[in-house]
Amino acid sequence: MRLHLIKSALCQVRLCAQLMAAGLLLAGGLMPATAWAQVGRTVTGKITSETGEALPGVTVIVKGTTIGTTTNAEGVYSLSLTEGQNTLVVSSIGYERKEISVGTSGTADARLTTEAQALNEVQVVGYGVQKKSQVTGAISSVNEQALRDVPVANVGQALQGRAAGVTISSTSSSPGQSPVIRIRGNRSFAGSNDPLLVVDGVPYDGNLNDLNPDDLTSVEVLKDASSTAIYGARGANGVILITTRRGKAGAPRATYSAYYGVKKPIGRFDLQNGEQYYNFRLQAFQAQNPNFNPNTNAGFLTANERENYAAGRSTDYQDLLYQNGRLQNHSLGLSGGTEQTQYSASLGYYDETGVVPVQGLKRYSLRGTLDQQVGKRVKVGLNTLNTFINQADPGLNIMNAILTGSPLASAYDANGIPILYPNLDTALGNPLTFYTEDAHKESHRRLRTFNSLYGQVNILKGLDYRLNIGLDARSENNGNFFASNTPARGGAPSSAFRSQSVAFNLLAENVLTYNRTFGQHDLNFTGLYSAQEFRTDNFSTSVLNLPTNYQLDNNLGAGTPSSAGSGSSQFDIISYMGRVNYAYANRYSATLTLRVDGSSRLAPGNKYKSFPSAAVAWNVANESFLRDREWVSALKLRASYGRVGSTAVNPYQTLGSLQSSLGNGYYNFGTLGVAGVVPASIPNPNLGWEYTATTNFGLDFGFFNNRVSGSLELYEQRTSDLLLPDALPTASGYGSFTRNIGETRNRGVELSLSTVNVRTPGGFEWATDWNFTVNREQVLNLGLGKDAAGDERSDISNQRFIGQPLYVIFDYKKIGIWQLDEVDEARKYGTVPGQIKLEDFNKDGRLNANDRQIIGSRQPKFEAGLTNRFRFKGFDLTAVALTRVGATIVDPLLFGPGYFTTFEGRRNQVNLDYWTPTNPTNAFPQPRQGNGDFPVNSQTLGYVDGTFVKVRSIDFGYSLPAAWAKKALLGNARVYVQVQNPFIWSPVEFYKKNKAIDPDALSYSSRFSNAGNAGIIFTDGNLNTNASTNAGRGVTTPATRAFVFGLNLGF
Amino acid sequence: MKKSFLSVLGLSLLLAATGCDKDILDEDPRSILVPSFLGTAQGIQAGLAGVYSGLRNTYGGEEGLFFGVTGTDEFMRGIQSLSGLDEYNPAILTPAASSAATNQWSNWYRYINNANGVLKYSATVQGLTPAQVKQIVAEAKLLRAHYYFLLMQYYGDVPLMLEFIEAPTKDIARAPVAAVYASIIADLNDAVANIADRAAQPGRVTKALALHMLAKAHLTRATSTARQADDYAKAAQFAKQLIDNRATYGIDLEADVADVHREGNENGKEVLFNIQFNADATFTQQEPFQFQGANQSSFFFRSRYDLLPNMTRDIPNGRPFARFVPTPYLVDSYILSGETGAQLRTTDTRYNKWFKTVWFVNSPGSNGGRASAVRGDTAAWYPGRELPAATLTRIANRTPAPYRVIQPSQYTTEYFPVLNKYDAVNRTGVNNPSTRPFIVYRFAETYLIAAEAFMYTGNLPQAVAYINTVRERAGAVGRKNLMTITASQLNIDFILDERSRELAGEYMRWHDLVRTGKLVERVRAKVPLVVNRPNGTYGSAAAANIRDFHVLRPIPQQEIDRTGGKITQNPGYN
Repeated sequence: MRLHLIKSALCQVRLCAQLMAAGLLLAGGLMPATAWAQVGRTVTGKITSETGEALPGVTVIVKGTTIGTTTNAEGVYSLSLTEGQNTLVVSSIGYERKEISVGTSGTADARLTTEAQALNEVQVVGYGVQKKSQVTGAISSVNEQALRDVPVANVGQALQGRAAGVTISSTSSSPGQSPVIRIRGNRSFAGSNDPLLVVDGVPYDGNLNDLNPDDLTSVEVLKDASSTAIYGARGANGVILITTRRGKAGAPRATYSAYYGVKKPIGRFDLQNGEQYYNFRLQAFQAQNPNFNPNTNAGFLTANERENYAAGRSTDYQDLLYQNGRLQNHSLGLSGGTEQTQYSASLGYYDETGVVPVQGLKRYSLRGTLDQQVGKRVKVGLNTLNTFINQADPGLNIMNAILTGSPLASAYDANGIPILYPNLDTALGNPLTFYTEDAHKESHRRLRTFNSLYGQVNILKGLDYRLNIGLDARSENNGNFFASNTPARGGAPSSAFRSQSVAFNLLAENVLTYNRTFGQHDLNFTGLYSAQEFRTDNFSTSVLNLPTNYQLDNNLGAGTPSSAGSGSSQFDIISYMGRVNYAYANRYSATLTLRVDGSSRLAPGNKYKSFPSAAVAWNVANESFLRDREWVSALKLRASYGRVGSTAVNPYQTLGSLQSSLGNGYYNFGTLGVAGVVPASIPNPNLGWEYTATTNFGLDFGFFNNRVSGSLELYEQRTSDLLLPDALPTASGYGSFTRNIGETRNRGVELSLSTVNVRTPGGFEWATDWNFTVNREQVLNLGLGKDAAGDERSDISNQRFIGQPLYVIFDYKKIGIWQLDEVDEARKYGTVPGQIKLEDFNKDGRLNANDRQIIGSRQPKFEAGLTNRFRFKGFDLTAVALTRVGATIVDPLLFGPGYFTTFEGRRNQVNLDYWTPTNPTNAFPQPRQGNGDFPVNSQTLGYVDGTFVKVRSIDFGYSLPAAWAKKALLGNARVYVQVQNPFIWSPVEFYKKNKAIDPDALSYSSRFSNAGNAGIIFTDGNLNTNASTNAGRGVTTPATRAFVFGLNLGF
Repeated sequence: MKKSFLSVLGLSLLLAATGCDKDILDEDPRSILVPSFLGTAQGIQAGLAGVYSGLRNTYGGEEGLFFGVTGTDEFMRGIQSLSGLDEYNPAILTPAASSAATNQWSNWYRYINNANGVLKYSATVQGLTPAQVKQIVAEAKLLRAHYYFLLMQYYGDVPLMLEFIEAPTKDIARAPVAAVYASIIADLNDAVANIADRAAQPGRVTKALALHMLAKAHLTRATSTARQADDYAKAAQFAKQLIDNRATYGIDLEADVADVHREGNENGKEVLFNIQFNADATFTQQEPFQFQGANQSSFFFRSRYDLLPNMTRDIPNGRPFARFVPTPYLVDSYILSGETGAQLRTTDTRYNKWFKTVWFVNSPGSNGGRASAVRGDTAAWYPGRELPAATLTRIANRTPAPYRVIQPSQYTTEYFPVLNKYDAVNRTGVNNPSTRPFIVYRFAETYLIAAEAFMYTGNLPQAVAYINTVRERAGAVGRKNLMTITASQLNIDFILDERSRELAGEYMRWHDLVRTGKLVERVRAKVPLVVNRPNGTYGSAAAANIRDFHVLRPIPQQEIDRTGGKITQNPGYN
């Protein structure tokens, strides 16, 4: 043990040494450049484009030196030259580099031609860039323009509907919610199917809201193994590379962009009003007791409810609580530089409030980049992204209280104070009580500083060494307070909570690249050695019974401690990687990659694994037989195969654990409290990696001068040695463990297409981006052996089925409602007319576990996205739409155990076509008191069609003509208006009536566990409900529509 | 300059080549406890406390209560059901849908594994004296026996897990009850031999408890398929041993039955075993809406007093979950023959001491009451009999305000006399769980066990003497002699009736009826069918639904699925 500690300390020293090496490199970078100007003549000139327009910010350098300058807003430059300096190099991004000779006149103008894109356009790939013509992997790019089209709160939203194979589902309309991102479907049962995010080369985890979308310039989605294999153990779910803005050589440029918007609920939940609720409740009571007399029975309505019923008064908490939300964003940027030094800085402020009170998110961001050339061979730089997020009320989902309270009971007492339990029922707390002064508070505050530094040395021609250091630190402070008089406390003493966590992520990468062209041969080698350490520490304290509400959670010491906790966890990853790219004549290219990863999270003996991949591409368009065909602008075939991994194992998971907490071990003997322990997880030394092997075929094409361009991908992914949470018989003392067994497969087709539909000489352009995705998940084998028929066995206890997608709904099937003339038949199944009729699947005259069947899956039949752009003179119009077709989703509002539609008469619910003796519908059961909290098998009512079409945004902008802008001292100016979520359509009648629900948000909001028929877990937690049930889960604040006005200015 | 870059490069490559990766990749957890912690002096004691803590998920909880109390002749369904247990509802009391059957099974096995861990590491634990280890082993074995006794009575043949599980396994099958009994009795005998006479701290299991459970285990085995010839004799012997040596163990009956369940007396002399709860929010669940491990026993027997005129929910009156309505059989079992009118249930004082029948105004004007009502005056009265019309008129004309009279013919699922054994006044919030320890076994039951055992061994005088001890204590002052019975009155039905009177609502009626083979017979005979009354429904479908196979609970479907059918279902539930 002691020896071990010494060793690990030694290693820490080494990690420090590595950092010091970086420091040395940086220090070296600061040494002064050795070139300086000498006295001589001055040359001036004007740089223009092909069309004669002045080009500002163009770099002009004296050939063979580092002396240079950039052009001003008029495209004019001025330089001092010494004797013998006669040639200038003029360059600007997007234009061909040009050399001009300086005559004796003292002026030298130049006209730059647009860069021939096809040949030199580069593509960001993992650990570098590649010539687009030589890329072998399947990569979807979302460029800066697309990112700018739609103001968004985070990068996930920006991607929605934009890239084939990338599914993004917004989970909730509450401020600060991160969307769920899936690349090519789900492949793993264990934990995460989330892709790896890499920001400026450094793996990024945590909340997407920490990144200011204004700071991004491009987003690349790496989908096949050839492109993800260099991320080895973490690449299995795809990789999203995010590049942030950096300075460019040229005149300083300032930008300001801002938008302001108002968001409103798209619609409401169609709640029963007072009279409808009365009839519903009466139906429930009389279903159980036909003699029930509502007028003589005290338990039917409270005196107050009777009064309101008689007076025709009704309360809808939606009226009392929904409000308009606000969106605003300001972003100020400055960038510029010379050939040696480039810098950029930006300040951002984002503020969003929700459509129910208090919810909100504020983000302050500060960012800076610096790139410095030192001498001829060295370049150093840094990028620092700093954000502070303040989120209000992220955890309090009050929808259950809003949607289930009695509409007949008065919400306020005679003094205008909200009544805690308006109809006395303690399950039906008044949501308004949360919003009285100092009644509750919840905040999450997070400070994050995400930094990457690099130093790069050109060792020999084409050979570069680069050291990347990633420093990512997060500190999060959460707190909450609930007064006694809120439903969360129900009259019990007030409670308060604070927690603090610190996460620190350190990455050191040594990258060696060799890049040479020998005649027709392009050769590129990348070698990597990296070490990453991630550590997180936290503590929290809860107290009860605070002396005053006024202090909220700011003086925990005044309360009675109820629990305190702290934790710490650390993991390390060591990686080696090598990649070779070879291209011949820009026609044939090949990539070979091998990455070896070692992870601390796996048991000794399983820690290291290698991940190889290979890919080839044939750039057919560059073949002689096509080169001169006008109509073909690009044509490339690609093929790749490779293997990547997934580390869905938590630190210490292989060791087994004991639990010690309230409800699990804590006990007292008299007044003596004891922290007892209970076995919680079983030791599992055999855990290893989960692998995904991907085969990908791709076709990139462009026709008619790229009027039509796009790519087609066909792929198959096989994920094996699945980290499979396997349910154990609980008689063993444990409910489950994770093991490497089984295999899944994803097959799919992705089509991305960009078309310029109309382009007129008058300047009108209509362009469309299409994307279309079909992905089929399939479980191939679960390691359970073969059944009598020789087929792989399914695992009913875990609801996993051979040949089916990963997450299917396996349950009874509702086929209607038992009708009055079916009394005897209903009795055979233990029920009565008016109640849910389930299919006797095996027709044995009984209803039991054998009658469960696969109802559907959340996997859509296909997904598609469509972006239309129109331009005319300075006007532009952009509309982004998406659709997902054929998935079956679980609606938490209709799902009985969610306690929103319980058909029991106790709670109010949305208007549904429920059965009564005079309304023999087959839609919903008769409300019936005494059914329990919800009718048996009412979960079967929650399975609905998840198909939807959604226009995510329509954006209409106007760019001021350059001349006008110039008069206003602006470089450019654009103003726009935007509608977010103008249109959502679903074929389901229920969603047409309840516009508050966005079916998109439900696509991933549920997953299945194996807990009986209530085996659905909705992702949205709820403080105000019983954690041991599903009560109140999954129904989020109403979907919103926003109206935004914005402007972008450049100076 | 070039040189310095090269040296930096060299350093970095050196780092790349050094072999310290292995150490970096070793895990050194400081924030979690791994199973071998049980092998330390602190760990084994924490493990033992953990074994105790699992009982909180049964005693005081809703599932445990529905398991033990409901579906019997004592209590029938109130306004909410759970897993269909109270009415043997065939649509809900199923292997897949019965959450109570699934959760209790899982919970008990989880803590059995915990006990097995303690027992495994007791062999090698360092830093404790042999006497300390001996006591820990005895406590762990007694608790393990307690868990198995619950499991076996509810599920019949159950897997017998006696080793700490250290590698995942699905190879688990049911063991015959004979083997389970053998294990229980062996563990209890070990406990009797090694455990301390008296508890070092409140709540610790003791030798008295071991003897009581040993007597009860033998008594129960005597009617099972695993019966041994000497079971009744053994039951009688161990019960008598406890009764005779009660002074040694610091055990005795309370003089007044009112003290037995008095709040604050949960660690009193009559208590053999309780599950500990207190008011310390760190170690006892105090949250109003978090039910895991909470003592909710004070909620379930409450009727809906909060709907009555001039009443509102408050802490002393409790949280009215109204889950359990006493059957007419139970409330009438306290009537001695010859009692009439206002005399009813006055000789046997247990009804009046253990049932709340009068409610006092706490909110004048509420629920349609008169504002003239006076706080503390009577708000409602359950007279326990039908009153003459004149009396009702007099009450209706009373000043300052009438009170509500609810006669037996007006009982419903919401309105009924309330068992007050679990009343918890010292709670901090109106919806908060109880802070009282929950009494599992008490000494009065030892007498009733002894009486049953001696009756079956043929020693009727001894049996009658034991039963009379319990009955006389419950008699009104001056009328105790009316409570005594003679040998001719003694039979198993009388013992069952007496157990009802003494132990009503104490989580054991279902076992008593199953043990004596009377479950189906008594439920059919004593539980009224549903009637619809103008103010609500009354009664239960239990008598109509119950079948012979209901003497066992369904084996959780997940256990069958997860063992690929190795664990089989109980008859009747397929």
